[in-house]
Formats: sequence, C-alpha cells, structure tokens
Amino acid sequence: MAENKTKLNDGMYVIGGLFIAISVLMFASPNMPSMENDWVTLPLIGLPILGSLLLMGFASAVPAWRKESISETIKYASLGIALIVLIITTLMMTDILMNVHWANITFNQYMYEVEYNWINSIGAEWHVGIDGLSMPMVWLTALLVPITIITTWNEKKPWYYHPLLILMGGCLIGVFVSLDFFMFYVFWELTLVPMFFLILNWGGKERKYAAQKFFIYTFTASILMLLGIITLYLLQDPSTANASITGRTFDMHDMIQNAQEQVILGNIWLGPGVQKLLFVLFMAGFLVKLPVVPFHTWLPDAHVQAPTGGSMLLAGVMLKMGAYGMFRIPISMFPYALVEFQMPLMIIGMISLFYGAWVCLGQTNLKRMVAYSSVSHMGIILLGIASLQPLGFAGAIFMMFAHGLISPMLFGVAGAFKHHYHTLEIGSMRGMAKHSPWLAGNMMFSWMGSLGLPLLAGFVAEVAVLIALWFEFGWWVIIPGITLAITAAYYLWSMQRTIFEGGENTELPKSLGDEKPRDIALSENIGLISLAILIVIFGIFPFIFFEMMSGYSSELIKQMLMDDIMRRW
Amino acid sequence: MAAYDVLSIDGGLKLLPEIVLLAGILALFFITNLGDAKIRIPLTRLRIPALLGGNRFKWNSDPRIPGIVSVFTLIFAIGMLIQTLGDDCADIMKGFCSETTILTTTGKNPVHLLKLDSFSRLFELMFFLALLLVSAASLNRLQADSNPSNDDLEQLLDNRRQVDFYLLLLISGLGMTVVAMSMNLFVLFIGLELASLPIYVLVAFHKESKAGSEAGVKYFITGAISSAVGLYGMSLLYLWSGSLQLTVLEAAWASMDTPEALPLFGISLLLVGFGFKISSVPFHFVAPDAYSGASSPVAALLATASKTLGFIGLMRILMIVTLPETGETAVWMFAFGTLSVVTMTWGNLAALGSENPKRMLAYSSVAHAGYMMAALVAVAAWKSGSYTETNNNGLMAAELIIGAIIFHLFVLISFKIGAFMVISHLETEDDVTDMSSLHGLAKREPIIATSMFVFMLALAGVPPLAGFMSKFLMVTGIVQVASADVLVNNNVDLIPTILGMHWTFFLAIAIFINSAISLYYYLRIGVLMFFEESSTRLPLPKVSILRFVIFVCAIGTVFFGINSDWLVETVTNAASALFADS
Amino acid sequence: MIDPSWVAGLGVIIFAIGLWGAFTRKNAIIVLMCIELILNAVNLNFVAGAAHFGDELGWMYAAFAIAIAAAEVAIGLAIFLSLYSKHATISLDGLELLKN
Repeated sequence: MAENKTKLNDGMYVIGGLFIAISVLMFASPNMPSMENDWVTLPLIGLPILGSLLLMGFASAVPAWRKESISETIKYASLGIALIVLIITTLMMTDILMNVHWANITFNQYMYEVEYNWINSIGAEWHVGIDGLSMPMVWLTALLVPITIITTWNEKKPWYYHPLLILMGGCLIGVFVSLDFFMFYVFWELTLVPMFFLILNWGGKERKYAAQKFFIYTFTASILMLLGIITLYLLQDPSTANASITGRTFDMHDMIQNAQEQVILGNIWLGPGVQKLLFVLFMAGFLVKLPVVPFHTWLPDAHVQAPTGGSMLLAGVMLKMGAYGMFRIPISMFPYALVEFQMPLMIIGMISLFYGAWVCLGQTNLKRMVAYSSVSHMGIILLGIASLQPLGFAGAIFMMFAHGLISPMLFGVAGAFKHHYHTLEIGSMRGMAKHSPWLAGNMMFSWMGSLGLPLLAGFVAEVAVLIALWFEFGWWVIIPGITLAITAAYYLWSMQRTIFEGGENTELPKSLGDEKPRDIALSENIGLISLAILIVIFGIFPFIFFEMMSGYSSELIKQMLMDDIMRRW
Repeated sequence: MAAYDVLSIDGGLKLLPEIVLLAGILALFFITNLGDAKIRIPLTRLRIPALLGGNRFKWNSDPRIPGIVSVFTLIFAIGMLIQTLGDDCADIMKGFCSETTILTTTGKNPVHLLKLDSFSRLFELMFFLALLLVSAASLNRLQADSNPSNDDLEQLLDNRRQVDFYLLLLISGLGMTVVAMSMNLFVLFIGLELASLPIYVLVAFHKESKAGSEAGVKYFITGAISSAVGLYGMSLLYLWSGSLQLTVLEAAWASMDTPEALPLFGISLLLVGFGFKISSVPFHFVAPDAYSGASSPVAALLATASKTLGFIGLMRILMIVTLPETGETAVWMFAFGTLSVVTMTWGNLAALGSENPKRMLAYSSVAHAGYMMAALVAVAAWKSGSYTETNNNGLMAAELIIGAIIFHLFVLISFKIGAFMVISHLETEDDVTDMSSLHGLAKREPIIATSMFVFMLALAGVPPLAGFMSKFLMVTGIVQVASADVLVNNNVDLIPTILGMHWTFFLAIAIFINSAISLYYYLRIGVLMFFEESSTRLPLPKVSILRFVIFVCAIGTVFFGINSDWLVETVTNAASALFADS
Repeated sequence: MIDPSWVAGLGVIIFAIGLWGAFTRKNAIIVLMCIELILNAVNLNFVAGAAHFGDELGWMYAAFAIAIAAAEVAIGLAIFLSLYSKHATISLDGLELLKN
C-alpha cells in the first residue's frame, strides 16, 4: 500500500508542477494579452496539449491496479477534447464563426490572425493565422484525431494512448497555423515526441529500431531546415525589429512580404545564389519528411512497426507537413530558386511516383504496400509543384487533403486485418468477403480510393495534377499516367483475389490457427465508414475545399512566381 | 563605475555573498563541534561550559545538520547577491544585471583585483544555484544514522564526514566566485585552485571503494599537471609583459605587430590549464573516469560548475586578451576550431559506444564542451572577416555568441544536474555501472523516467526544451558571423555561395551533424527506460528531497525552453559586460 | 647580480624536467614531485620577472604559488594514501578498474 501512496504523490507532483509552471509563465510575462477573439491559441493548440498532459499526469497518479477502472473515463475525455477541436475547426471552415471567404483572401493574408510576444529578445513571436492553404490541413487534423481515437478504441494501455493521440493532434495543428519560423520549428520537432512514444510503446516487434530510425532521420533532416531558418533570419536588415537584440524577426508574414516586395519593386533582398542555398536547405528538411526517393527508407519501417492509430496520423497528417512546409516557405519565398530547380523537382517527383509504385507491386505485407503507395502519392504532390501551374498547385494541395483521408483508411483497414487475422501478409488468404464482409468492403473501398477511382477524392487531385503536367511538360505526362493505370489494374486484381476469390473453398491465413475469423468491431466500423463517406463527399463535391485551394494557388503564382516564370520564357 | 578598496566597509558590503559563504564555512566548523565540554577554572571548583568539544548536544547531533546549514547558507548567499546588485539595474524581472564596481588592493598604487558586474554576478548566481541543487540532493544521500549513540565512534566519524563533504562544497564555491570576479590572471588562478582542490577531494570522497580512490588519483594527477602547466604559461606571460592584469595584457597583445614566441607559448600553455577544466580533447579521457568513480552529485558538479570555471577562464583569455584587431585573424582561431570539432565528434562517438550511464553523460559533456568551443572560435571570426566593414553590428554578433555560451552553461545546471540526480536516485538502490539499471524505469517510476527523458532530449537539443534554445542561439551567432560576406558578393550559383561563407559556417554544420549523431544515444536511454523489462517492478526507495530536486530541474528545463526571454536578456547583459572592458 | 634571463632559463630546464617526469614516471609520489618541479619553475619565472621589471607583485605571486603548491601536495598525499589503503600500491600503472 505504501507503494501506491508513492505513486499517487508523483502524479500529484506533475499536475501541481504543471499548474506552477503555467502560473509562473503567466507571472513571468507581465503583460499577458487578453485572448479575446483568439480561436486558435487556446482552443486548437492549448486545449489538446494541456488536456493530454493533464490526463497523462492523472493516469500516472493512479496506482497500477486501478488503472483499468479509469480507462473509460480517459478515453471519453480524450474523445471529447478531440471533438471540441473538430467542432471549432468545422465552424471556422464553414464561415459560421466569423464571416470569412476563404477562396477570396489574397496571398499572405491570414484569417484568425493573432500575435503575442513570446521571446522578444530574439524576435520570436507567438503568431498564428489560417489561410486557404492551412485551413484544409487544420480541418483534416482535427477530423482525423477523433476518427483515430474511435477506430483504435480498444488499444492497450488506453490511459496513455488516447491522450498521446490528442497531444499529437495539438502539435500538428501548431505546425499548420504557425506564422513564425521559430514557433514553426518548435512544433515541427514537437510532433516527433508523441509519435516516438506511440511507435515505441504500441508498435510491432521491431518497434525499438523503427522508432529510433524515425526520430533520427527526420530530426537530422529538419536541423538542415533549421540552418536554413537561421540563415534566412540573419539575412534580414538588422533594423527590422527594434525589440529584439539581434534587430531581426522570425515573423513569416513579414518575411514573405519582403520577398513579395522584392518581386514587385525589384529591390534585392535575397540574391539568386542565396535563394538557391536556402531553397536547398529548406527542401532537404521537407523532402525527407514528405518523403521522396531516395530519403524514403524511414517510412516503411515506421509504418509497419507503428500501431494503427500511429500510422493513421503519420500517413494522414505528418507526411503532409512536408508538402505544407514546401508551399509555406520555399515556394512562397524563393521564387527564383523554385523556377531554377523546376526540372530536378519534376525528376524527383517522377522517380518517387514510379519507384513507389514499382516497389509496392512487389510487397506482400499490407502495411508496407500502403507505405510505398504513400511514397508514390507524394511523388504526385511534387509533380504538381514542379508544374508551376495554378491547377497543379491546387491539385497538389488537394492531393495532400485527399491522401490525408484515404491513407488513414488504408492503415485502419490494415490494422483491423492484423487485429483480426494476426497477419499482414495479404496473399495469405482467399475469400475474405465471406468471413468478414465489413472488413472486406472497407478494404476494397479504401484501395479504390487510393487508386484514384472517379468520384472519389483522390481522382480529383490526380486529374488536376496530370492536366497541369500536360500544360507544362507535354508528353512527359505519359509516364505518371501509365504508372497509375498499371498499378491500379494490379491492385484491383490482387484485391479481388484476396477478397472475393475462392467461392466455397476459402483459404484462411495460417496465423489464425484454430480461431474463427471474425468481422471488425463496431468502433472500427464507425471510424472506417465515416472516412469512406468523407472520401465520397469530397470526390463528388471537391469544391468545398478546392475553391480555397485554387484561390490560394492562383494568388501565389500571380504574386510571387509570375515574373520568374516569364523570365524563363 | 565605482572603485572601492577591497578591505574597506563599502568594498566589503559589495562582497556580502562571499562573506555569507565564509560565515557558512565557519558555521559548519562550529555548529557540528558544539558540545557539553566544560573547563574548570584553575584553583576553583567552578566549571564553565567551553561549548566546543565533548559530547554533542541533541539538536546538533543530527547528521543532516551540515547539509541543512550548507543549503541555508547558499540560499542566504543568493539573497545577498540579489541585494547587492545595485541600483543601476532597473528591473531584475526583465533581466538579471548588476552595476559595475571595481575592488582594488589597499596601498599607494591600487591594483584592480575584482570586478563586480553583470557578467561576474551572473556566474556567481550560477555557481550558487549549482551548489544549492547539489547540496540539497545530497542531504539524504550520504549514509548516516540519524540517532548516533554517543559512544559509537564509527557513527561519529561518519557524521564528521558529512561536515567534510559540505565544507569542501562551500570552499569550492568560494573559489568559484573569485574566478568569476577576478581582473587579474593570477587572482583568477588562485580562485581556480581554491575551487579545484576541494573538488579533487570530493572526487575521491568514496575512499572506501576502489573505484573512488582510483578516480580521485586519476583526476588529481591530470588536474595537477595541467594546472601547473597553465601556471607556467602564466609566468611566461608575466615575463613578457611585466604584469598579469588583464587590461595590461590586452594592451600589450594589441601593440604586438608580429606574433612573438613568448606570449604565444604562454597563452597556449595557459589554455592547457583551462582545457582540462572544460575536458576538451586531449583531456577528454579523464572526464569519464572521474565521473564514474565519483558520486553522482559530485559528477554533476564537475559537469556544470567546474566546466563553467574553465569557460570563464577561456572567455577572459581569448575574448579579452587575444581578441585580434579588426581585419586580422586570431592566431589560435584555426587550431581552436579544429580542436572543437575533434572534441565534439570524439565525445559523441565515444558516448555512442558507452555502456555506463555516467560515462555516457561524461562523454556527452565532452561533446557539449566542443559545441561551446566552436562558438568561441566564431567570436574571433567576427573580427577577421569583412564583417565589420559591411555591417557595424559585429559586436552584437559576438555578444550573441558569448551570451549563447553563458545561456548553455546556465541551463546545463538544470538538465545536466537533473540527469545526474536521476542516476543518483538509482544509486540509492544499487551501484549504477551499466545501462541495465535504467531498464524499465518507466514502469517503476513513470515521473522520474519522464524527467530523465526530458533531460536527454534537452541534451540532444530538441525544441522546445532549454538545450535547444542554447544551441539555437549559438548556431545563430556562428551563422551571423559566417554569412556576412554572402550578402556582399551576390553570387548567382549555389556552390560559390556556399564557398563564399566564412569557414566558421562549417562549424555550425559540424554542430548540427553532431547533434544528429548524439540523438542516437540520448534516445537510447529513453528506449531503455520505456521499452526494456526490468527484473523488479518495485519503485525506488523514497528520497523526497532528491525527487524534489529532479522535479525542479525538469521544470527548469522546460521553463527556460519555452519562456527564455528573461534568460536571453540576462546573458546578453552579461556578455556586453564582458566586452565592455575590452 | 645575476641577469634575470638566466633565472628564467633555469626555469625552462626545470619545467622540461618536471613535465617529462610527470608524463613518464609511474610512481605517484614521483609524479607529485615532478609537478612540484614545474611549480618551482613557475616561481623562478615570477621571481625573475619581479627582478627584471622591479614589480613587487611578482614576489607576491611567487609566495602564493608556493602556498598553492603546498596545498596541492597535502591533498595529493591524502588521495594517494586512500589509494594505497585500497590498492596496496601507489603505482599509476595498475589503475585499470575504471574502463568502458
């Protein structure tokens, strides 16, 4: 009993420590601003992060033998927090909260924008805002977290698992809304920590290796990005910000404005060589995160070992951080370098697309297959960027969103398959539809979505990118077109074999042993089917988001890139 | 700028923190020796109490008394430190700073001895904080019976050793403050010796174990040789310039047209002395031995306060004496830059293969020394490039880098001591000789394990923890110095742009590569704690004060990472105070 | 009067002997004596400098250096004693307990 008492005290220390830390923080920043009209800081970032820390502190305060009894409470509390975030973002998106015309905002203009002083002395601020690029991503994150929670409702040790998921969601939203380089980088790295623990604690057999590889790979890449941030920071005029001791600021909005003035007025802030250097440094971070060939090797390992919920968020949102970062920083700020590096980007995109699809064909492990198909889809995003067309940009952004819906469903299905059949070997069974009709249906649907079936979300994005490619590169479009077609045919065939073939003589995987095959649980079904419905909705009515995306893209091209594109002709 | 005689009342009042420390040392002597001994006045039967000696009273026979005295002395010293900052500093909540006061020797030609300014006061604060954490954490750590029977000599001896431990800590602290304040190289050296000699004993404090005495001997021999060599270098400087005042040396160095052999030789021998303190290559091999043989609190002291001493010395020598004139290249720049890269790489590679947590922390502290040395090199680069011609805020860059080093030394107190305290907590159970002690810690002690993981991530430099901010500031400073030329020559292509950077830019890249390497072994600790199974599920013995220190360190690590405004302001004040007299 | 440069020259020789001995000798006591030699070379330098520049501070430096050397010897001998009581030797060769 004495032992339990000790544990309780420790948890209390944590909760007390958090309160003390928060109150000290408030005390140490003397003019704490009022948070009126700030729908981002506390509701979208503070609530999930602080909520999850409190829940985890509470869970560790409870002695081990009583943890089971609080698991339901913690699950519902996490779900509640995730749903609150979802509701707020949905209200934002649908113009109810404030009257916002997402499609009409100009380049470098942000809604729900707020600025607070943070680390004055180096010019870092807490600066958040949302525009046509980040709104879909924020909404996607807010949507995926509750769906992930529901789909993996019965995970082991839920008292840490579900709070970690909402912590992850809070950090990801932090990345998407931050308009300050320092804050952006902090959240960028912060997302690694919950994911590291998700893989480490709930992952497969090789989780130790996979978690470390994941962390080290992406951290190494992002410190190159940090070098870029620092260089960019220092290249500002030292009289930019008077409050900081370096006289400079990390403000993204101001820097993009400077870059824009450079385009409009022709005054040189970043010379061509510097632009190229910065472009390479930033892209190194983003391309590894995306990931593209040849930096993709962390992805299959992380995915295969991660728990279902982890891979859903990893594939759904974390990979999009790379693409989002490309649009937000290098494309918006270094137009000269982007136009110069158009061909390399196109070639990397082609290779990723082709190589991902090719390796995917040879995989028998379901999760590995999905991971390589993600690499392939990320190649499409890169192709959209390389096209330098408004349509291509919009297609790439929509691809980020569509893949954010489809790949969690794929991973959810793979996780359910693993959970019920104890294997990930796709070729090991025949006639799944007979044993687990719901699982089979979901699996079939998710693969169709992934292949870009018309009327599903992925199709819109692929078509947009391919058209843009045709405008820009002409017949080169044949390569991605044919790749997509062939892989589609192959998957349909292999799915059909696994799911429908066999008639009466179905074949069950050996790993099942004597167990009877079951269908998926209700909670899994709710999560997967709601994803499926969304995929259909955004396939039929893509304009819900496509308008704001194309609005953003055409503004971006008009304001930043036009001169450089013209120069090339 | 006021100047006082060091022996006058005004001067003494300025030194109140040190006087408090001295009073604490005396109190440790007396309080623990108070007893009921009586003296008989000759030829009478009157016996008056002599107070010293005899059997101790009940209230002072508690073995924890020395620790408590030491903790309160340090708290009081910090209070006095804040009291004596002076009025020049407007708002201490915005940034720690102090008015500048010079204390001189008595006599006809007063020599400037000690200087009290934002720089030295901040370092005093850091030393007091480190000592406070260490002595608080050791309160319950040294085994001792709380109720020793009076006739038990063993217990009495053990109790006496408690006094020794804290006495040595406080004496060492006194030496550290002298180092922080000194304006004369020899005074600095005396302070350094006053701080080091007790630490030699502290390292060998576990004389009952073979490892303790062995670590003590190794540490002592290397330390004594390097400090003797350093002193010889100092005497050569004296032969060259005729004075050891830092300002005189600086003027003599500046007036030197071509490099002369004598001062160069002297400076390089002097650097040997400080190089040992910061455990740079080629002295890196002592650190792991000393750390693993010493008790964890002492190792924590070695990794923070003792290293800080070395860096104060380096800053005084390199930044004040040998900083070159504008447009010149410092002679030591390239050698020191190479040495820094070797140090950080060697430390990280050795830590990769280390199986003992204390040795791993020791190697990681070698690597951190390398980062800070690289930053020092960049300060010199500020003068050598075309930086000052294009852009006159080069001094700001130098202040930023020095500030970053001080920032790092400051936050090291939170996460390095924290990490050693976790190991100290593990040692309450059993000796920590390999990684298996950490296995499954998360299941036994989730909060301690989480704190340890926070310390590890802070050491690796993961945002938003304090270790990230310091590394970030350092690299910002280096890049600021290095990228100055890029703006001038507006190259069109990528490769010339990179080559157009000053070579210190590659130091920044080296720091980044090393951070990536180091991540592996820091993460490994996390994996061991959260993934491996341990043989037992029982929590560690409950030592509340140790836990409290660990929590304080963890909160500090997070706090200074998230809200570093105050600290950045503080270290900038300190850095400008350092450059103010050059 | 002897020229101070001769004194300093003697200091160089003593320093070299001391350094060489400190690195090569295995007996801890002899190493300690070699460290003392280095410190004596320091004293010679300070004294030579004081005589050359006519600076009374140099004498004081030398006096303090002697005090430091004495303290160092005291502590060194104490540490060697604890080594001897455990290892029964003061040879620096046998110290191989602490290894990675």
